[in-house]
Amino acid sequence: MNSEVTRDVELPAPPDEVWEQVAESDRLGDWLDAEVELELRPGGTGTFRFADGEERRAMVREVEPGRRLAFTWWPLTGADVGRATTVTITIAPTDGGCRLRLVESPSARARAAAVAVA
Amino acid sequence: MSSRADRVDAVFAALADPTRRRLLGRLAERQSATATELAASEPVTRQAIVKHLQSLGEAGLVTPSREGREVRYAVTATPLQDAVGWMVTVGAEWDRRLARLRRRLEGK
Repeated sequence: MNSEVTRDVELPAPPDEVWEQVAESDRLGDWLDAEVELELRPGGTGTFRFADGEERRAMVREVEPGRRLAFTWWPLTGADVGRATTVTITIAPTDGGCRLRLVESPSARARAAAVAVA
Repeated sequence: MSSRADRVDAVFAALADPTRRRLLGRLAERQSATATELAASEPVTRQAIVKHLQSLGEAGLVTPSREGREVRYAVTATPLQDAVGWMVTVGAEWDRRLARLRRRLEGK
């Protein structure tokens, strides 16, 4: 089953402004409700500490300033521990501001590993 | 009593409502909960939550068990529902996060 979460939102701000909210760890943390440290380069690593105590490690896969950020993250705690998923955020300009597309999908490798463990 | 297609229809009908999706996501996060527990942090009445939980139960997405005067609901664990549960939970998380992002941008 191809389980994947996709969200498209129209935002009332230009792509550069939205990109700041995505690319700067403090701002990203504000709307994710987490403490975020993310090294913004392909291969860069990161940590997300959520308000509910969950902690995730991350690795940046793609950075295209103003347009696209992709990272893989995996929880260190909780029911989904070790279950890696990839988050891709794409920003495109529109007349009124921009459209942000968010996709979170489990990687085939992460699923195969989960099945092997189960 | 019901064919597989009927059951799948029931699942999608149950998931068509955003409140039920959110409740299912919350149940998946916490393993199990009673309507009273869920009502503490939902903007709808406990009565409404009970009805939504019954719909989710009829679709086989949650399993009720009696606990004193209350009924405790848990997400039913099957491989398909694991996947659905993940999608519902993760989708609800992103809905909350993207709503916060929008509010931040609107507040400028």
